[in-house]
Amino acid sequence: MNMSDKDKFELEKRNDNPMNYHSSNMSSDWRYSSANLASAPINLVPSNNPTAVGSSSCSSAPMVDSFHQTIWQNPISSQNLGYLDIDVQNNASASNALGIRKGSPASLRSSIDRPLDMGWNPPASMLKGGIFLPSVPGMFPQSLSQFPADSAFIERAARFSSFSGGNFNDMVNTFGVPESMGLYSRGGGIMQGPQEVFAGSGLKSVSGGQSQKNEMNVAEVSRDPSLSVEHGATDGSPLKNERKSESLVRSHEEAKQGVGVSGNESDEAEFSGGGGDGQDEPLALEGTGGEPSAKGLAAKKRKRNGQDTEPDQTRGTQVSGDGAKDDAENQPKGDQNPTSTTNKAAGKHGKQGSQTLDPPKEEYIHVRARRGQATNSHSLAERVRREKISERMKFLQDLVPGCSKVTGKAVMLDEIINYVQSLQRQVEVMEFLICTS
Amino acid sequence: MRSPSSLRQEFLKKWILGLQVCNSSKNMNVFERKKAIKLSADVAMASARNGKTCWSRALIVNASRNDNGKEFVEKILGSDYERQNKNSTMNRRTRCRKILKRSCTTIRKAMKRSTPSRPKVFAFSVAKKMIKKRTQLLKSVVPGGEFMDEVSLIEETLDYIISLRAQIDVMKSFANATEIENRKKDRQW
Repeated sequence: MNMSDKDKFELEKRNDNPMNYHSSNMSSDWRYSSANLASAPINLVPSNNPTAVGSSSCSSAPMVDSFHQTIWQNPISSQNLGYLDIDVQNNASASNALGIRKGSPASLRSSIDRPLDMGWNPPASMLKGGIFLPSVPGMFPQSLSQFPADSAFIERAARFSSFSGGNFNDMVNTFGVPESMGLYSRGGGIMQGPQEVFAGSGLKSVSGGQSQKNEMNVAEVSRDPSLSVEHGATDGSPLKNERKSESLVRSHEEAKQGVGVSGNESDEAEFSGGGGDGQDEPLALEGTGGEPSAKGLAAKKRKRNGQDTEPDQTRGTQVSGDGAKDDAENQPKGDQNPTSTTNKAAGKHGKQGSQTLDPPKEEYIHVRARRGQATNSHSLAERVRREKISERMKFLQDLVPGCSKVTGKAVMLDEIINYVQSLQRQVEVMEFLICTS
Repeated sequence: MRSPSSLRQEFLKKWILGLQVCNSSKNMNVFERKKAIKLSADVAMASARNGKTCWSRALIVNASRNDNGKEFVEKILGSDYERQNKNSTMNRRTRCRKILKRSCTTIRKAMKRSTPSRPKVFAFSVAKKMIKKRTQLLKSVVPGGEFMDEVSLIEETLDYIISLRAQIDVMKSFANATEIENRKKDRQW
């Protein structure tokens, strides 16, 4: 009983937090935690303070905000029009930030994250009208967000490919890979426009190239993602996107095999073999980047495809993609241990970069299939699993009070267990109170 | 889209419905009343998720194990609940997971026998044991947690925490309301 009293007191304390609002105690800490959870950049703001809410919405990605402002020009008719507008805007931006972070449309199964999206607490009648809309515009900003990335990306790609061909092979291959990684990690809702431009630039850069083989690689690679992405756009679901891209990749790999290139035929055969190994995976394109890494990553993708949830996949691909990019940028080949650690740090950094929508240039250029990494399928799958777990632990950190300072799984799990047990005991106490009154 | 207020409203509706059902059977004993309240609260909380989460399904299954519970659940959820539970195909999943776990543990045990005696690895193994203990604890706390792998376990705890909070909020306001009403009644007399 002491624990429950203490927890009640804590709840009360949270209610008197520096939030300084007037609404009922009931929803206060709820709002606090869920708003906190929505996204780190969005500041905690009381719901009755529209100016503060406006500022908080500005703190999230500016492009997203401008987009949302245009959408919400025609709000639902209700009494507190402005109030709802800002609320929904904030909700949408919150859900959007989460969506971008995950790289999957809001309509996908983000059931866990949706209740955590909700920042504020408008009246129920208004809420019903307003809440369904954020799921729709959630789709758009992702594709929009890809726009600056992709166009800048295309420029860089063109620049890269036009470099003299000393390390042309490597550079082209690495450049080939990030496109696929970047595109696949974006998941569904991909626009066709940038892809066509992108394919065009890829082909153009190829024509400027020197060796035939490199041409083939780049052309194939650039064509693959564009085609697969087109298909994905028509299907409109990331899973299908990946599957279709698999088949396309396979066909392209076979085409590559069929085409006799004057260059290193053995190399090409190896690449296509590597790609053939990773047949199930859209990232079999990485086979062009390097064999062992291709197989390793292919194996990792295989494991990931075997799992159930879609956003997990896209999330995982995004994380691993960014991790691979950053890692490659840090170290070319070499030791396994430092690369694994840097990969983790780089992976998280990559995640944050994608969150802010202003990824540093290096993330896109230096995608390399993870050379020098532990290419054992087991360890790769474990890494993916660990990343997933750490992601969810972050959510839990926001939700459970007093967990932000704590690092490490064991202590956090302790806190979580204590919290859940205390909540359950509170429920028991309440039940008892109610039945006696 | 689940917002906290809609979750609370749903929970409240179903809870009140359950309480009405219980009152019709006229339990005057305190303990029975408490049981009824708890049961109806559990079922209401679980049904607010519509069978999407593992813990809600497990909760409903637990509630419907007693005979009283079964009737109760049927009344509240209607005949849909069986369909919901069956759609989830929980049994198959849990069986597959158990088999997987058994095979994995045997493999891990075989690998563990050849553990090197370096201090670093020792520290790792200690940490792993700690984490394992705690995950087992968490699994015992969260309903239906024994059948889940770590990743989904964390998701389930997230959801569970959210709904517990909503439940507590609703019950608090409910208790306040009843208290106020009782005071008014007392004043009248």
